[in-house]
Amino acid sequence: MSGRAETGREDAPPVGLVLTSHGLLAGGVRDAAEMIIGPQDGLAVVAMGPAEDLDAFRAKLEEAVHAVDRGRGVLVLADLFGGSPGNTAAYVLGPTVEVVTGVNLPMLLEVLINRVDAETPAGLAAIACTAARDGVMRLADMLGG
Amino acid sequence: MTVIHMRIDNRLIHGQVTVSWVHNMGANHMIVTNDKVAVDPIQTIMLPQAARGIRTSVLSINDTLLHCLSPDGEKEAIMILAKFPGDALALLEGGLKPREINVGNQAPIGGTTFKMVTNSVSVTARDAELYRAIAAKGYTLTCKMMPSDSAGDFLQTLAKKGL
Repeated sequence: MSGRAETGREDAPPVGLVLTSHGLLAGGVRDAAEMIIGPQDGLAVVAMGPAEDLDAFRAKLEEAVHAVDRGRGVLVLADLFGGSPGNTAAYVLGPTVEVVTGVNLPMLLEVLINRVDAETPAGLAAIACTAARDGVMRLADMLGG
Repeated sequence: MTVIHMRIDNRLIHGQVTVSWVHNMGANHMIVTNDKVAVDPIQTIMLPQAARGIRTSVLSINDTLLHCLSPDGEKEAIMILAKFPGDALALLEGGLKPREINVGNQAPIGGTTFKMVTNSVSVTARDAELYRAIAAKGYTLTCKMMPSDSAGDFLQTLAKKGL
């Protein structure tokens, strides 16, 4: 698989990933990440449209989680806590399925780089939360402006 | 002061949108009303947290009426989020008199025959009857996503779509 960080576990399957959002954000953040670190396997996108049937959306999300699970569990990244995609994702939570809300590009990149080495989806979720927060910076603070 | 605003919205609390309504209305208590949601263990935990610090209850129709019509409820400024038009009508029939009623989102429900009357509001023939019954209680229903959106008469929107 191209773009993967150097690891000692090249043969191990990655933790599965599902991105879900209002509209095109999830697909867009995937495109951006792939532009930076190359095409990714085991990564599904479930976009919610304005006229989406919420039960059908939940079924799509469950299907996507199932499709990307290669026995190492799944991490779902949703766009917004309190939004319908994130609320729906609460129903797929389980012993091997984690959900993190507030997806951004730093979060997704860090998750993609670490998803083979991560021991569990819970460990990967912790990495996701830290990366998302650390990825927000005021440039003037860094450049002394 | 009691129920200052009722929103009919089957997406329930979607974060910032609902919070902006609560602040715009000056509400100090949000009540999500639907009999099924009130017994859903995930929703009853998620929805109050999505409301970002605004006191939020998830109640059945009966419990919503009991609270709003109690002396405690009379002292509050309540915003109600009714999941379906049927929930809203049941609350009106139970004696609630919200100052205004707005239709937010109604995502379509699989297996029903509906028309999209706006980008985010689906209406079945049965729903249209319920909206008319609500209006007949003396309301001009609006259909606004955000508080600052322009208000139109929702019944006219339905009529334009042949509902």
